[in-house]
Order: sequence, then structure tokens, then C-alpha cells
Amino acid sequence: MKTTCPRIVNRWLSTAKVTKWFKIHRAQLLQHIESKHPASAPPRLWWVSLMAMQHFTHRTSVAFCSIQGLTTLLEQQQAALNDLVGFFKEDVGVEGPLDAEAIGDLDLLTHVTDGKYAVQLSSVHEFLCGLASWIDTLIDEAIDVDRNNLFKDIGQVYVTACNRIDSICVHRNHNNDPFDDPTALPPVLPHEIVKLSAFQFLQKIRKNTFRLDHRYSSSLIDVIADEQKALRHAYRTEPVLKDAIDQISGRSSFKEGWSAIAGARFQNLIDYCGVVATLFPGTSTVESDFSVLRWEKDGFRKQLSDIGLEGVMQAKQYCFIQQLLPPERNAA
Amino acid sequence: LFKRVDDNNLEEVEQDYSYSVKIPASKATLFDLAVRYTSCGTSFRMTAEIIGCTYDVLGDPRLRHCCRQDVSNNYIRVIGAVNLQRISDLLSRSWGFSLALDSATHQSTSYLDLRFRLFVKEQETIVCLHGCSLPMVDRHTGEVMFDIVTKFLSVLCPELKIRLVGVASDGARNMTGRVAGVLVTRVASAMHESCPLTRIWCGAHQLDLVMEYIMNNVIKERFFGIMTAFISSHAAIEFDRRHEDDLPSHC
Repeated sequence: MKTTCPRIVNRWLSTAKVTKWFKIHRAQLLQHIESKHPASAPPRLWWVSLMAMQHFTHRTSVAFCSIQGLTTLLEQQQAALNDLVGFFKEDVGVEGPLDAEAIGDLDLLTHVTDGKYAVQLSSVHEFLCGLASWIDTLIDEAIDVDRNNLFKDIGQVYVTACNRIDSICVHRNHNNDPFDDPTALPPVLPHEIVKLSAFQFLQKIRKNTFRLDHRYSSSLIDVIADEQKALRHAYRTEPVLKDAIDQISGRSSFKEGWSAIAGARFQNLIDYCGVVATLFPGTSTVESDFSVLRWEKDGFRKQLSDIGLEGVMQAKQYCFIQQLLPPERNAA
Repeated sequence: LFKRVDDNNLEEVEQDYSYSVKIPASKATLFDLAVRYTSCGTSFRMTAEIIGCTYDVLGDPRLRHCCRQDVSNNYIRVIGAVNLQRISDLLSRSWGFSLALDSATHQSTSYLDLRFRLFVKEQETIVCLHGCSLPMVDRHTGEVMFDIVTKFLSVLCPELKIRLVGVASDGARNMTGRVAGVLVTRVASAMHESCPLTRIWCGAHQLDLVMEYIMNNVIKERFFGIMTAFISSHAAIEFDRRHEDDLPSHC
């Protein structure tokens, strides 16, 4: 075949690569199986599962990569996860979130359920047939039990994914349980800020009053609140600004979100939102440091001292940090 | 190479001192090159060697006389200090910042890595900066890690209790996560009572857990069992062939 299957390890991300390889080389693999008849040859219906799992792992790995960024916002991460559930609902026909009564009313012979999500086996059938031209023939040839098991397995994968991804909550309380109020964190982009009344906005920013008072002055929190009112007013009265804000979505970065609102009139509001937006949505940036660490101190450089290792890491960001402070402070 | 300039105003103060480092114009190229070579991962000795080789080929007088001690003591240690000073300045200018931390063990040494995210007002941008990878030579209990973290952070930002807005960790995925979880709890309890901390459990780790659950519980036997059996049977054939190649007497 002159091709090598990617290494499969215990990480699910490697599954995305392996299933893709199987999908690309399916014809050659089938030829090989026909000529050699290996004992471990997969059954014919397995190839249908393969195509579904390739779709599933591909979609998830794209979302997984998209939430890892140096300046990804919590909102962007949530939007990426919502999009993933949305793709599964659209592609496979998963329904949800449904209330307990609606789930209880479903016929379990024709549906697969998990938590608040459900999918009809006929929808799974339609989804599988759409994955490749040869799949409907394979499904038609299979016996009823195998076919039903296949639909249930694949359906279960998607509904479990939808249910569990939907319940991901990054904001935790002191017990590391999901935070009681999912809307407790203040919004950081203009399109959400203009939706809040002055009272709602003040409620949300009040948590940081002490910090702001300590750094600036006691009146700054009111200045920020005034700027929010001014933004709401500008949104209603300035069509250009309204259009710009309406273009912003949960997928926008902080810079994209605020670039449309030029000028100094919202400076304190931007500063406030900027600091709140520094909340890390995950630890992927730290994991990337460990990647650098493992790369630099590999098996051939076990004697690399900690100061040498840290020197490499600091040297990597030296030029970037130099650009951050204004010129008058750059004379160190 | 570097001239340490004492700040006369601070001379009488015992601990609180400052110094500035001036790079002579003649050494600026050498310094830039050393920083860039090191950022590519070279050790101090290798950096000095490579600069020496560069001088041999180009004959540029600005690259003369670079020794290992210069690279380690005068360049890299200094940029480490300058970086941390810059981060400290940036932290003190802002009313808040966030922290991400995690630990990992590599070649029998555990490292506790810290990253900062802060907002640079002048540029209206959020930046993510590497703080430090702290090697842990002591026991790895939450308390010891808390001591290390607070010692490091209190130097960078003396007003940590008020400035820290949120901490992200990898939650309860494994023992490391649990230790980090304890660490976050200790940091949260050390905060000023009017400055509650926002805790974040990494979204990517949670998605990872969802996927692991699906792969191990939903579709393991009827999909993965078959796939791995098929791959491993062929890997065995490949191994046999290689083994035969190594033993020409079999051919």
C-alpha cells in the first residue's frame, strides 16, 4: 500500500487521524483484505461505524483546537462548544435540550436518549447514508439486529456528546461544582453590554468595586456605569455604531469586538471589560509551555539546567514583552 | 559588558533597591543574537559557540569575544530579570489580572507553570505571558505548592490579594489536577475578603473528559476493539518482517 497507519495512542485525538487514514485508504484496505483474508478483518458494517466516527472525531477535534488560543475569551469557548452541539444536531438530527417529560414520552425502540438529548434511529440511518455513496448498500445487506445495534451505537455517541458538552461549565464554585448562576460573569463585549440595563450592569460590576477603588478612585465605578449608559444611548441613536455592534458575536475576539467603538469616550469601560476578559477559559497555554519544556529538555539534553530551560522560555517572549510598555518605560 | 548603575536615592534602603542595565552599543548585536539563538533552544554554551562560528564566517567585529559566562550571566539572566520586571510593571498598572497554573512531571522533576493574562490599556489588547516554570524539589502537597506560588507572585505583584481576578486550573482530571485544585482553594482563601476569586475549570480538559467517556464506554468494543485488533495484527506482521531482515540467515 506504501502508506503507514498513524500511530494510535490512548488519546482520542489520535483517533481522528487514524479514522481519516482508514477513510482515505478504504479501497486499498478492502483489496488487501480480499486477497489476504486476515483473521482480524473488520466486518463489513464496521466500515459504516468508521465513517461516522471519522465525522464525529473530526468535528470535535476542530472545536478542540479552536478553543485553544492565547487570548480566547470565555464567550468564544462557549460559542465553539455550542457550535459543536449545533453541528451534531444539524448533521445527525439530534433533538434537545428536552424536558424530562418529553424524554419520558419517547419510544425507546425508535429513539436513543441521554439526559436531555434524544435522536431517532431513522435520523441516524439517514445521516449514515449521507456519509458516503456505498453505505446504504451495506446497511441494506445487514441483518436487522446488526443494523439496529449500529444505529443505536452511533446515535448513542452523538446524544451522549451533545448532553455532556452542553453541561460543560467552566465557572466553578469553591467545591469545584458548576457555579449556581451561569450568568454571574459580567459580559465583556459591546453587543452584550448594550443589552443590559444600567441596574443590571451595576449589579454585575459591583463585585469588583473594591479592586477598582483600590487602584483608581471611588468614583471610577460610576464613571464606568455612565459610559455603559452612554454606549446604550449611542447604540440607539447612532446607526453606524449600531451596525458595527450588531456585527459582533460570541465568536468575536476582544480586539474585534471593541475595534468598532473608536475614540476615548468609552476608555474606562474598555479597561474594565479588558481586565474581566483576561479570565483564562482553560489551561491550554500552560500546556503549551510544557510542550516547549519537553521539546527543549528531551532525552538527549537531560542535563539542561532549570535556569537554562527558563532562559529559553524567557528568551522566546523577550521581544514581545519589549513592545508592550510605552516608550518612556522602555529604557531598562 | 553591562554596567550596573545604582540608584542613589535608594542606596540607604536596605532591601528595596533598583538597578538598571545598559548595553553598550558595541555589544547590542551580540546581545540580540544571543537572545535569538537561545530562544531557538540552544544552551548557553551552544549559544556562545554558534556566535563564535558566526564570527568566523562573517568576520563581523561586533560578534567578537562572546564567552559562555557572558551568555549566562550577562544576557539570559538579565533578560529573565527584565522580563519579570516588565510583567511586574504591567501588573501594577492594571486593576486586575488572571492566572493559569498547572503542574507536570518531566524526567523526574515536577514543574509548576504559571501564565498571566493581563490587559494592556495603551494598546487595548489582552496579552498572555509566561511567568515561570518553577521546579518543585520538595514534596508536592498543595501547601508546598501554595508557598512556592505565593512567594513568586508576591514578589511580582505585592498587591496580589486585591489584583488577582481569576485562576484557571485543569480541575480534577488526575492527581495533578487535584493538587492544583487544592492550590486554587488555598489561593482563593488567601484573597482579600472583598475581592472574590473567579475559578475556572479548563474547558478543553472537560471536553477531553467527555470524549474519553464516549470512547471508553459507548463505542469501545464494537468499534475500537475491531480497529485496534486489525491494526495490531498488521503491526505484528510488519514486526516479523523487520525481525527477519535483521537475521539474514533466515532468508
